[in-house]
Amino acid sequence: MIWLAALGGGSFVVVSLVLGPRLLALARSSRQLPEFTIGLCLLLMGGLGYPFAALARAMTALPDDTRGLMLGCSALCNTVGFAALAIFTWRVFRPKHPLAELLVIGCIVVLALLIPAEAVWPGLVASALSVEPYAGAPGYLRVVVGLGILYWAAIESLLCGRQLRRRAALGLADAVVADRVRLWAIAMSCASVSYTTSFVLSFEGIDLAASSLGAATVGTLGLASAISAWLAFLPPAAYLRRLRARAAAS
Amino acid sequence: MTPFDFVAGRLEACSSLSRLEARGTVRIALRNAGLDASAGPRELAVVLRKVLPGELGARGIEAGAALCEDIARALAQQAFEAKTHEEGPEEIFRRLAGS
Repeated sequence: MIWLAALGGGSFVVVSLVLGPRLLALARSSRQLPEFTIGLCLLLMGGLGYPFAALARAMTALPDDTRGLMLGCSALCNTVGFAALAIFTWRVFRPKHPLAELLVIGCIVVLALLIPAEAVWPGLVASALSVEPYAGAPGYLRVVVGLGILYWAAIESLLCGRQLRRRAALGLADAVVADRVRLWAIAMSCASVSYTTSFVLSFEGIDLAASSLGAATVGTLGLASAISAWLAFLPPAAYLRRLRARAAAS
Repeated sequence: MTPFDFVAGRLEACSSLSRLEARGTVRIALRNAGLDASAGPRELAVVLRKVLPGELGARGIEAGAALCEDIARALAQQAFEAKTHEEGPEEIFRRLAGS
């Protein structure tokens, strides 16, 4: 089943490497924060952070310092990516809520503090050489904060998607946009559950490659997340035609 | 006065519903339409014609559709203070696919 996990993870990396720069280019022309933060999040987390970490652990032939450097790059990419996702969720779904603003600031401060903490305890080289995917308390804490941000993004987009679908049914919202929010909600939900599965398996000391159920879960969810993100931000013309036809018929 | 206050006030005046019941019923109809009390006159007119009659029927109000149509017409005649446009998730997600 490890091939399915590789397929799911790989497809998410490819989709992130395509969509991230595309959204950043869009942000450059529109000068808007949501495009910038979502583009940064996809590029850094899915496109760079995940492969850096996977390579640092898998490529045992590389010098230890190189593997440590790659893991440091992964931690930095994930930290900035999680912060960007938190800002995106706040600005898009809860722009007027002071509590959301406070939560985002708190998450960013904690994430920023965890990078130097992880470099010291257990150290990036030691972390790269460790059999544990998240060696040391700072590594685990970063995953917990990141999971919180992912679940928040999933819940907000699920709620917003439901509202927009109701509006679209009455002709008060664009069915294509309502579907885009729904797809983003699916992508975030799958990423959250997949990340949780990896985290729980590693916490229990189970190697992902050795767990058929874990690998199948992570692979399937990674693939679903990649397909949803692709359909949301780079939808094929045929998919849009089908959506519009279905909306017109209803 | 907001469009929501106007519609709830008219509903209260033209039906047997109390102020609290009228406002609550309009809120439920808005929620079922994916909206809230900040909805504008255009959205409320749609809710009055497509959602609220069903809610009134469920509460034993007869001729709910005709009542809602009257309120929708009155709503169209009413002038409201223009709200400053704030970009919401729909506008942002519309831009994100470059469409």
